[in-house]
Amino acid sequence: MSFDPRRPSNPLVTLLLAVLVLAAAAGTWLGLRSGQPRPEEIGSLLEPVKPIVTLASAAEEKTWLEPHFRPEEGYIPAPPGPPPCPWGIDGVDRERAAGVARASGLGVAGIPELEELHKKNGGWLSGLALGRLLVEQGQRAKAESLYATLLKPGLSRPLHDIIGRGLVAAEALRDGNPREPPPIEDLTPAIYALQASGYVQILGNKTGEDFWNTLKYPIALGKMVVFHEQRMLVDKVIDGYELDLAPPGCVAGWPGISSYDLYNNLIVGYLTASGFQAPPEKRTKEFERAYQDPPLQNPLLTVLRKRQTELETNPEIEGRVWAVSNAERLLRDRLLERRGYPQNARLALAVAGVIEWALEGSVPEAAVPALLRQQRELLAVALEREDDIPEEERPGFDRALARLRLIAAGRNGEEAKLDDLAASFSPEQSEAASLVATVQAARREPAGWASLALGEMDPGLSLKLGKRASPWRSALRSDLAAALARFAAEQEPPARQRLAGMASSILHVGDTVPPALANLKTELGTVWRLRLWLHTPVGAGAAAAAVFLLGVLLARWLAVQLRVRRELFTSFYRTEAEQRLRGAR
Amino acid sequence: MSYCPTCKKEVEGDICPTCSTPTEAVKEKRPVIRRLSGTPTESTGAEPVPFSPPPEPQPEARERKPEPGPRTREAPPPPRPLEPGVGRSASAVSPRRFEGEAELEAFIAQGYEIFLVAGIAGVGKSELLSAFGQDGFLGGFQKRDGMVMATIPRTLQCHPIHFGNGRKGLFVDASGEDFRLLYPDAHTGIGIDEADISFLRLIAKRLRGLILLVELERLWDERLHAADPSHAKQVQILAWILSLLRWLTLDGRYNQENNPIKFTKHVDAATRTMTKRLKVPVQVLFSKADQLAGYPIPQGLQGADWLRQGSVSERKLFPLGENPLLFTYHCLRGLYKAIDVHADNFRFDFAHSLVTRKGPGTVADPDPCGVALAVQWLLDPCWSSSFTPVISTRRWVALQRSLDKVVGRGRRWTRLPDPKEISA
Repeated sequence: MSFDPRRPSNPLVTLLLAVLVLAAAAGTWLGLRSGQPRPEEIGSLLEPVKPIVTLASAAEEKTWLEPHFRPEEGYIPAPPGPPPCPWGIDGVDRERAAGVARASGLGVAGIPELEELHKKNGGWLSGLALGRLLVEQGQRAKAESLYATLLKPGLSRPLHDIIGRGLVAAEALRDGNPREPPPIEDLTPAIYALQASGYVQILGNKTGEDFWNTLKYPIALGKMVVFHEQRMLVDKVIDGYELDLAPPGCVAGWPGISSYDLYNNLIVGYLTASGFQAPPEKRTKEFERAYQDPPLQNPLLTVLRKRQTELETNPEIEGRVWAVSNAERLLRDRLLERRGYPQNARLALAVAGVIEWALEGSVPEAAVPALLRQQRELLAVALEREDDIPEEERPGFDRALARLRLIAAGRNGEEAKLDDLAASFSPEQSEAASLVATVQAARREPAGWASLALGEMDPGLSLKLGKRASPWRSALRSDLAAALARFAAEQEPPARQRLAGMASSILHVGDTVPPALANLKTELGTVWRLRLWLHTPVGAGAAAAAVFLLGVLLARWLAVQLRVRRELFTSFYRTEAEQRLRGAR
Repeated sequence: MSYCPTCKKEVEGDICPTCSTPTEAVKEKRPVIRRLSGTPTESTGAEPVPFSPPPEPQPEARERKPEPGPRTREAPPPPRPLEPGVGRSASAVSPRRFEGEAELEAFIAQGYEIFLVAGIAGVGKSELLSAFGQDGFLGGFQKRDGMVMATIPRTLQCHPIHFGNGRKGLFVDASGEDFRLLYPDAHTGIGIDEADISFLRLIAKRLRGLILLVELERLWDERLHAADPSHAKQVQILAWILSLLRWLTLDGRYNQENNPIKFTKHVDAATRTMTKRLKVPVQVLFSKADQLAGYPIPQGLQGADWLRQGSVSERKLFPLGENPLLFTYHCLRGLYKAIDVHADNFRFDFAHSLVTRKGPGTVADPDPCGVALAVQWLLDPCWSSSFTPVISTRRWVALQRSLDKVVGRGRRWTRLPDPKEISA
């Protein structure tokens, strides 16, 4: 054959079919993705439900503070209490009492004299006075050694025996076998020694059974003091009990340490402990509860139950979980007894820090409002009582408090009034805090928030945020979807479904689906979940791809039919002849 | 007696009375097919030269014969009373199995798709296949003076073809004589039974396409009918072949033992009640179209002559300008209806494998026209795809008729439209 004939074809048909298929796919995508709510519409919907909780945005903003602020600054152990009052202690040698009183009054200058005095008989009177000054001077290791010696078994005023007797008495009283505990004047120096020892061990990052006993025993002994003073059954003494304990030998009302300091040190000890792993039986005993409170009433219990389950896979969080457990007991007892929050700046800040740690992980949705409220109120207590913090500790305390207030304000949609707290900021910290405050102000109103999440961002703000803008806007969209989902959950079915669709359509690919929206979708059922999914970018993309594939198959089929039809009414004889005439090759 | 190379038969004289081609001297005696009575004899052509060496004899294969009925070789069929003039086909002493059947079976076993070319003797079946011969592959066609020699009766020529996409295809070319002999015509006195269609049954197993060749000149020129009655009966023969293939594909059951209904009547009755049709594409080609230009279409075939005003003018055929479907619809209504009854997908077209000079019959232009595209249409994978079912031809025709009515072109369905000019 001199030439190769070609079957007649109609490229226009192929082109038209291709265009139709692409148009169908594009139309599917646009149709499913259109109808995205306008920011003004969302803003007006959410305006009545202000202030709105925004967890994701606050978490994102928190990361901007992290390089400049250290959360550990908020874990402040209570230092050793004031020195004893030697003249008020029965049975002490006058000369010795005078020497201790005089040296204690000299401040750190009195250390050599106190060391001499302590060397002579090694009792707790000189020991407590010396230890406190050593801590003040920064000689932590020496103080730790001193306290360890004081708490060892010995002949002169053995604190070790007192502690033992006190604990036995507490146990016996709990079991219903009354046994007189040691007197208050014996318990007090034991409590002071234990508290001081615990303090220096926290600073030294100690671990081990003895360390935890040092932190727990003074709390138990304090309950014995309450028993003495109020003749209350020990097991009726609530966790978080209130006790102001004057130094040994001092009259009641003399400034000393409080039970809050003891609880604070225990919780701070757990928060700062690394590698803490309790034996299983102790863990079970610690986390066991005779009650099951609902999340709104006792959110920390919900957190405890959740985090308990994570211990196997994340053993490094055990210390924090024990901190949650102790904070939960303390708050529950106090709030149930209508005693209010512990009026202690360090303890309030520490428990607020515990809640902050809880909020960093996944918290059951039901517990979030109560957790946020408790944290907000504890921070208010810490601010109110900040004057109780010694001057030398104030900068760290202020920074920690400012940080938590800023983050909490971001979550709660409020303005964080930092005032004097910001005076302790470094320039970098000021800049970071200022940026966070700026974006919080920008997104505080729902309309502004929706506009930032869905619309165009102010160029100035965009420049300030730089690379942080994209993940922050993603967090804004997640929070917006969560807020709409929560709002939708309170509406009747037709509106609920529409709002669920609106919430779903806000999210871009890669945005976190908030639990509130996930729960709402589960409630709505499979069909609605599918419909909502189709409106998401992934769903719309999948639908468009399916339409494209179907379109291609249909177009191929149609092209075949049209070709068959065309060739039915065509003469190949003529076609070949024409091609030959045209010189087709 | 001389030999006409065009008509492939022995004739008297130096010029063939049928096609006016110069005859050749008969070089040697050729075996003659004997009939019982009344049937014309025909030469079978030169010595058989098979396409490829036959495979090693396989005793089981040679012994095996498709037996759909319960009849066994040990128990010969009960004798049927022969009607006058009815006899057996070909040589009474030759085996019933065709030469090449074993080869065909082997191809089928290897998964080849079968495409059958059917038509009476001399319409150009082998020439068509030769014209489609693909470059780089064995041709296997014996030629004389540039034209393919006739296929030996009772021989199946198997021509594998290359699809290029993993499909395996095979064109099967049988002698036109064999197709003619399948037609149960009382006038010729030839009857068939199930055994006679064994090769068709084999082909039907993997049939994927069918080419039916019709030579219009032989069909319409009554002067040629006397030499070979099959010329006039091309349509009936092809319709019957189609009917057989339809029956074999969709049914194929016949109990020959003590069955008062003759085989052919059984097939006829069965196909009349069938609702399904052959799905394989059927390409009907009017062969030797180069010789049809200006051929007068017989009166009464142009459709609705009585509607024309004045005298009916002679309409000449112009293959290059005709619409083949409309041409068949108006001028070969019997053929159109037969194809429409038995097949779902079909088309009509003209073709020539080579151009010969009318008088001497020598080759003027060896290049075919209308062959390549027609065969490509047949080989299109869309016919065998289960994912793209094709709308049947009758539906397309019905749709087109409705559409033509709407747009004012309905007239072309009442009478044959005039041919179009060909443009370069």
